[in-house]
Amino acid sequence: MRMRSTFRPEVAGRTRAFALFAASGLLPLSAQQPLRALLPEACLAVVEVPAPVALYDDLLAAFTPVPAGLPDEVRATLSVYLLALPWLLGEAPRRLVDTLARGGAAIGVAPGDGKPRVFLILRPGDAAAAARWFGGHARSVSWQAHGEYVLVATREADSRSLAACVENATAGRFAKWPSHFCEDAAVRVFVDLEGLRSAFGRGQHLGENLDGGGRFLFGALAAALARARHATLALCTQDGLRFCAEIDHSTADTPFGALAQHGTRVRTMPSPPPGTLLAMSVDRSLHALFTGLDRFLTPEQKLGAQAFLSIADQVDGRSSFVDDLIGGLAEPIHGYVIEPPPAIPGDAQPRLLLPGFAFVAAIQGKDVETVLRRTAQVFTLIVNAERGQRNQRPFHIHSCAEGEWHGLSGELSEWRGPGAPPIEQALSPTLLFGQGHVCLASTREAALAVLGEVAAGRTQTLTGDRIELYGPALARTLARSREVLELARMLDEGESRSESHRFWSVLQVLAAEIACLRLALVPGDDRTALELSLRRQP
Amino acid sequence: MTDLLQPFVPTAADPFDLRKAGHLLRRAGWSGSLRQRRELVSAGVAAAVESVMPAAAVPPGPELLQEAIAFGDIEHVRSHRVHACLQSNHPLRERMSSLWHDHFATSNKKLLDPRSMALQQAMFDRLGLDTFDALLLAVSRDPAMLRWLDNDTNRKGHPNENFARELFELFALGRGCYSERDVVEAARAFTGWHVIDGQFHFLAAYHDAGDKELFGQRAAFGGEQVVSMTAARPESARWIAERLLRFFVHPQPSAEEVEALARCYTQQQRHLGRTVQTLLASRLFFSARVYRSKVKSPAEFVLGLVRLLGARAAPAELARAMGAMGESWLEPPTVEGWPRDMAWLNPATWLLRANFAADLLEGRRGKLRPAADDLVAAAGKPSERVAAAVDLLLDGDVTAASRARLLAFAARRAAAGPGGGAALLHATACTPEFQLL
Repeated sequence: MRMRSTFRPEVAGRTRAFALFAASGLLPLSAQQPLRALLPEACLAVVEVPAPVALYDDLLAAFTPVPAGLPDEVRATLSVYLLALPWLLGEAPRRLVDTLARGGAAIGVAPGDGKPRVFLILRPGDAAAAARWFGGHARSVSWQAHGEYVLVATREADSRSLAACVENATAGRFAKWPSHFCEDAAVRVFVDLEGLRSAFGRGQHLGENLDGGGRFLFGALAAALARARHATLALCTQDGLRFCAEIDHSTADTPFGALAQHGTRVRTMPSPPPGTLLAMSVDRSLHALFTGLDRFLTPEQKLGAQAFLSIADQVDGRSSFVDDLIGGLAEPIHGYVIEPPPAIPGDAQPRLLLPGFAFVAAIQGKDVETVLRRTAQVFTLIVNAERGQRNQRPFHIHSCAEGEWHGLSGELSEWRGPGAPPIEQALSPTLLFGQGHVCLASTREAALAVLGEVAAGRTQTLTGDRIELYGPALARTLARSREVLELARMLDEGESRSESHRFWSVLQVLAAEIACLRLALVPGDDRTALELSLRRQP
Repeated sequence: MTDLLQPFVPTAADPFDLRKAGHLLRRAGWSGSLRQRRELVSAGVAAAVESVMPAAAVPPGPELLQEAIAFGDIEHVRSHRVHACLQSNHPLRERMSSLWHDHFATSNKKLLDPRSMALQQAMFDRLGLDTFDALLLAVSRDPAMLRWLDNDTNRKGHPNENFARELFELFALGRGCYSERDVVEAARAFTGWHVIDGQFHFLAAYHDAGDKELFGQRAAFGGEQVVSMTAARPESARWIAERLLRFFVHPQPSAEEVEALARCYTQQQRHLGRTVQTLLASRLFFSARVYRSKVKSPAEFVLGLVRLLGARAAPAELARAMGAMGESWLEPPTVEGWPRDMAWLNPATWLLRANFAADLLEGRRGKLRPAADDLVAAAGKPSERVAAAVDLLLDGDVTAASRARLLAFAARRAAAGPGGGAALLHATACTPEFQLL
């Protein structure tokens, strides 16, 4: 029996209203079922777009207007592609989406012999026009008009099996997906992780193959992925673009879960100060790692960590790196990358200006300040000895006090050599204490900027891990070192000067357009969510 | 001017052809595309020699030098040198700089100072074709050189003879042309020539201002006088002439050739640019004895192949390839520079050359535009394809034995189906002829 439907939603809002209607039982069975329900059982991953036209509009709104600052040749190339698109597609893109899939689209992917098998179900806005379009453009796939649907598959046999699924109208296993994650998203992807692992015979030991650093940072997520049965991915288009994912296993419930001290609890971090280009707080504990080497690392990795600790303990010589120093800090340590301060007229600056790096943590041990001061002084001695061997000037370290902050700061004497100063001339390594916090930074300005937020009590709340990139500050930082960055691509990639110039121009313009790009990993009691969101400058 | 250095005049029997244009570009530059070589043939020998000479008498500072220094590592400075060689339209300047880098060998392995190394290279670019006196004085005041040969510890009462000894032995005169006393006295003259903040400083308090006896003359010589007296000695003319001949002409120049070029050099008031231009235009340079008489160094092989093919490759990648073959610029193995000629070739380095050529031709080390198949006319007969490959890489000149092997290879490859341009070019780049300069 071929299904019929009156389903003709035009926008995402209508889709949601339709879902409510369907749930109330007022619509026929075929219309109540989402398109994904009609895909073959063999599919291991399914993509569903309930309202493709609305998705098209939202994506267009997110990516347009094209940033004005793009180089002319890039704008011209984009214009040519955009002009050529209707010609290549045979119709204006939005109209084509409406013609082919006004009522929704679902794609299923199943494993095949060497190549994946792809199934596509469309509910066209104009079935006759859709058939004409497929007749003219879809020569490399097998398709058929099937009642209110157009069915497409990569192989003839798959097309027939897809038609059989639709005719049987029995809800497939994707109809009742065990997650309500992002139900109103413009695009949802359902992945049968268990099926993938058994189909490809791998993935069961994700996390265990990582090196020491990889285990520390990604071990819990990888292990959760290896144990999860389902993953749900979604693209949400309201209020910027958000890519979200969820798996039905918690990172806490893995061998590496104990590396996170806060787990599902909400915590705070100092807000990123003005000029921040990157802020990150990753819920991992170095103290947990170093006191549980057997638990988290392989025997070889453990030896490497022990070698590091034997050196780290000797830097100060009178304290334990793990117990007195790391143990005296309230982990996690928050990291910030801050754009370099404005140039002072007449002051020679390095051609390659690094941003400032700052790490801040609350202090919970009484000896931390003493240990850190001694460690910093010894470390400076080592660095200066190495610099002396290279005939480079030493860093002069001195005690400093800035308002409520006190500590150590270092700098090089004025550059008198030939040409622009070296990179390190812009560094002023700083260690500041105050208000129960410690900040270690590559420049004094970066330390004071972050501690300014601490002093003002400005904080952000978060759970799990978060990394945020702020585009305008990144663009300004790139602009300060443009010529050096351009040469880097010429030398490392073999690009011509104009190509390298164009690359950085595009990157700089795109970065300036990104108000915030956020990557967050949020652990739950029985699941883990990942979110990547992009907000454009207003 | 002696007969040897008379300008080469092409004749019907001995024309200025693709072979000679390729020879000129290999020796005075880093090779060039087939189109460039054909243009030189059309322009004639005088214009061809003129074209490799730098356009400006006093060159601008090397492009992007400060940016290369900004990274603070030697790899970027080295890549910057490779980039300059690949991009140069008048390659003799960079070629001379490579000669002087080998002659006044200074290594970052000891200095750990990429900035000084980069500025020394810039000095070679600036003065490499000036008078030898100007070059030698600049080298004697060069911060990298002063630290390399410990002159920054040379002070009154505690002379360090290292720089003075190498000045005579390696840089300007050669062994047997000076006495031990000359070394001791010259070292005193260079006391107080120190480096502060990466720049040359004359520290009067450390300088021995007393009388010195040098080459039989006695006076309160300073370092400048030692340099000018050394450069003016006839032994120095022969030493520099021999160095130029070994570099541009033949690994073992004859005594007659050395004398001839030394006379020319002296007549030109020790002007290196004019002397080299005379040499490059001479009968000697284009003679049969000189043609393909040297073994390519790794730089000549790597940069030459890239330029011959018109490939685009990352300079950093090329610098690493050269280093793997034994020529890591800015890090010569000894104060005498790199080994030369046959020392470059052994089973290991030959394999590295072959692999580099294969990687380049198959696009693993850069982009090849046009593609290898287009370069050797993939659709043609095997003999046409071999002719195209030999024209492209060997100026159309290959021994009968090599041509026969290439023909057999091309025939086998043609039987296997279309394509195979990269394989044929690879085989051509692996011929004995291609290893020669």
